[in-house]
Amino acid sequence: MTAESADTVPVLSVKGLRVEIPLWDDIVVPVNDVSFDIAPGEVLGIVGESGAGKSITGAAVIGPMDPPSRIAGGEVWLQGRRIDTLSGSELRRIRGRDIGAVFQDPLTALDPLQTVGEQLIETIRTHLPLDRHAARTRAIAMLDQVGLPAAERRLDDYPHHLSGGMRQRVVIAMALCTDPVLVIADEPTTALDVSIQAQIIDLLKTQCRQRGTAVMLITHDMGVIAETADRVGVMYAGRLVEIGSVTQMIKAPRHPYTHGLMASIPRLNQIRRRLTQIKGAMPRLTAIPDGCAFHPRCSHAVDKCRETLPVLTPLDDGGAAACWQVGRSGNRPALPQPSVVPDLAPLSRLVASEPPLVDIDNVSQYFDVSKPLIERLATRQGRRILKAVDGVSLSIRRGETVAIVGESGCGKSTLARMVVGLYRPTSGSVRFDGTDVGKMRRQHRFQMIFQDPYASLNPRWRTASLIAEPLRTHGIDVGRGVRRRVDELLEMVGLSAADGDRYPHEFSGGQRQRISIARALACEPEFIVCDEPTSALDVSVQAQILNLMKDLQDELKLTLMFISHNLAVVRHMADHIGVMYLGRLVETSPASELFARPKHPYTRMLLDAIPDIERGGRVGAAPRGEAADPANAPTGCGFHPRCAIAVAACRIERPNLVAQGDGAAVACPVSDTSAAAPADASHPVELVAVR
Amino acid sequence: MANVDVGPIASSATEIGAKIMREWRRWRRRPLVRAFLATPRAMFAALLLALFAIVSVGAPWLAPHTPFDPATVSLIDSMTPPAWLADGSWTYPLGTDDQGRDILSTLMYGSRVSLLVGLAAVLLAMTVEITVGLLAGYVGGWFESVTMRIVDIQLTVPSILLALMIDGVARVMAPREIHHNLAIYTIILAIGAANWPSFARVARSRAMVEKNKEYVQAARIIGVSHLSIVLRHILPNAMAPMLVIATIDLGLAVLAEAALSFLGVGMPPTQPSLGTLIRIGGNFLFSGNWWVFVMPAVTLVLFVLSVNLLGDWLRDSLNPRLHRAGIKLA
Repeated sequence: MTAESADTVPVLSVKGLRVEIPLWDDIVVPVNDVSFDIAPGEVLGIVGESGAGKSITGAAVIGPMDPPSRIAGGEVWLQGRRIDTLSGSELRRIRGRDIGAVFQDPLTALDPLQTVGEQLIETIRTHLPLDRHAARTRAIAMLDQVGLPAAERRLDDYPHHLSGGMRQRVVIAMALCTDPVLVIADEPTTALDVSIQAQIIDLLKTQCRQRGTAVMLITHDMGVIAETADRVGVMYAGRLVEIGSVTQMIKAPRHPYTHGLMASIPRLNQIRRRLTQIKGAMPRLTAIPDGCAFHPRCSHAVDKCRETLPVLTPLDDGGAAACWQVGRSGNRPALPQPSVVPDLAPLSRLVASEPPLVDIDNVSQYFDVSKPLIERLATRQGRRILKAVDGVSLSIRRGETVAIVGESGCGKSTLARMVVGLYRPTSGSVRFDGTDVGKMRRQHRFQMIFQDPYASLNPRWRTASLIAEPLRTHGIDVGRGVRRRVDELLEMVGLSAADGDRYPHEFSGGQRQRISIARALACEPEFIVCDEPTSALDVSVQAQILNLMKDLQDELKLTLMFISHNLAVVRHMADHIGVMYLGRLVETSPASELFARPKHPYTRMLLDAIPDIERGGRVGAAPRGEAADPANAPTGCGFHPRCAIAVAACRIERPNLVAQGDGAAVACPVSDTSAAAPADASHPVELVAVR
Repeated sequence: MANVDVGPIASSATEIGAKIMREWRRWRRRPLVRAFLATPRAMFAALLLALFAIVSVGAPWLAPHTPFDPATVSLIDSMTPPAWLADGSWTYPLGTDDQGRDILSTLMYGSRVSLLVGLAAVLLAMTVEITVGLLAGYVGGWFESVTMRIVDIQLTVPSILLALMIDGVARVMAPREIHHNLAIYTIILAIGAANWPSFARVARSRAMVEKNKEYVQAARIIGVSHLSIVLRHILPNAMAPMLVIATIDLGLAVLAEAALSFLGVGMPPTQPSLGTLIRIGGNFLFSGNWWVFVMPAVTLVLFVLSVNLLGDWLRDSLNPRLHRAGIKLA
């Protein structure tokens, strides 16, 4: 180390890191023999699916691990100084000053009982020799730099006064306020909406570049990596399986896992194609296979992979991969490709003339979020009504997939729950095949699949009983027929009959979602509402579930309503898309039309906010502002405060959906003129202000 | 020699055996079981409780004497000290009381009564109030407000006072001759009623949490009836905290019974519980015959202690926030 000059010393150097967690009767190793360097000013992305050990690697670098986890081997060097052997107090000094941290959940990263200013000033004064006044000035400057409007006034705000995006800005300000040499960002945008994610990524990137701060960016999102990172390390089951430059990783990934991971991400430029999928799921830490941990899922695996662990071998171009099949030049021998599954059938199954299967007619759902009467009288406040869904009309034809997209709080889940009759609409009605769903009791013709595969299955029931419940409830099958049907359903969703005896907690997230699907299918429904069915899953598993749902849809002639925040997933699934903002539909359009010619400025903003993996990030500028609180929505068009083309009328008059010639309908009178000009799909639509 | 033919019966027997072994292994792997097997404190308490249970249930067969049969009791043997003291005899290992009854046997019979009263009171409280609480939490609205206010009011009445009241009312209402037979039911009702509110409140809050979970919504869309949702989905998932309360309340109920009997409104001397025995013993505490008092008192302490130890452990290990720390306990 001493021989090297200052600028070639990596900011962070991790060598052979091994973390152990002792269990009752076993020791699991969530991080095993991980080595990497981060050069000054470099952004290293660490990607991997859940359970890969990426967050624990970050935690081990930051400092003493929470017992019982322990660093059981390896070294961590920060600027040529070994830090994993330091005592608690020495490490604390370094941790705050030289390493900044940004975590996933900005709410828990801030102390709810202290103002933003107190927390910032405390951090600054702990690590820098500044007096109170100087620290305060610095805190204001920091908040200003991270883009918090009226920074001085924000000092006295408590974290709950700020929105999620604002809070994450404050966390970034705290991480950067001591001018650290390294920032560790663990899923910094995962809890945020796409439009906010784009802002935060921009901020992190520009701030760190200006200061020359190195970043270790831990995320599962390849889009974020493509936009931000210089180099990428891919982790699988506790080990680094590939590391290399970001372009290399995107254009020509070497490790079969990286390859599969990249291929299974739904892209905006692919329509209605079957996603490439990796079979199986990440092994549990207690059962990591011998040899290469990836071999059970790998289509290139040979006997050597099952027996001997491949080490991370440097390649000629500076990258490294841990795979027996990758030669020194980085080429994988051409092995037979996994059997090509035919693409899915086109839209021909739609019958336009039939009456709609589901007819959502001007439904609204208002929630009363007023304070209690006495408090209202004392403060002279009126009632506060939260219009979660406000006058939405939509019809779904038999065999069609209609997707509803929007950011959190736009009312899409509330709408889904009204469609299946869980919530009764405040006004308007939902008709299923001509009957009001509120009047349908004990029906089995429509079902719902929920977002959280951990919460949507009763943990105390065996899988077979869970799937048998709808059969028994509706008398679809009785006696011995039940078990036979359950086995059939299990196999239909890609599980085995033996899985029926197991409890939900014995399955992975993806498998549980399969159980939920089997359970919904047991009712023999015609229509299924899917509320973010894959947003809790890893990408490779998401691809499996999406493919499964498309297959089942074709096989069983299902009609789907698909709720999602992810436009790429929606593009892959839907025939027709509705975009929601603040409880209202702002645009409905055939899927191809929506992506080729987005008409509402909000739709365009959403599309622009999505990082394009191939082109190394977003094309357009980051969106402005954040969605308003639905309990306190702006007057007129809800989107006008963030809209680039808003005119005075937008503040007053609320636009309604107006049908366009191409089957689309848009709730924006202003954008009509600009939409008339054909937009080139490869360039962002130029937003022209019409005044 | 040819291979031994196992035959269909033997093979199905090994199959069943294998199945039992599989279930046992699955059971052994359950976190609660593993936590139990790794906590000596819990195992000690459970062992002691098991001993109490065996002794109580088997008292008529296990007890060396039948203390409440006047024919077998002799006044000559009264106030014999425990066996290890001078004048003691191994006929009466723990000595005798003023009427010459064997204390060990009275303790066994007394534990039987105490345990019966405690268990019955807790079961009564559980069934009544879990039903009320679950319904209140699930249905909500005015039903919830009304039932929960009743529960709140009940909480403000001291439990001993409530028990005295119920006992008093029962004594007035029922004819004199059956007072003695009635005692056990009044006391179960009295103690059960005193324990209701804790179950009702926990059951309600659990039901409120569980009913908003997605698996309940899923069941609703599937078309499962409300009753079935409450009984088969919510109740099993709400049981864990209730079991903890039940264990801790069992100790409290036995103590309450002892207190009532000590006050003279509990079990009659002809059918003594541990509390009654302590009351009787209290009369001889200062006359040198301490064992008449100390033996039932120690028994009661041991019993309540083991129930509480087990309840404490159960609370710790069922607490989801401590689940991760299951590792820590190892």
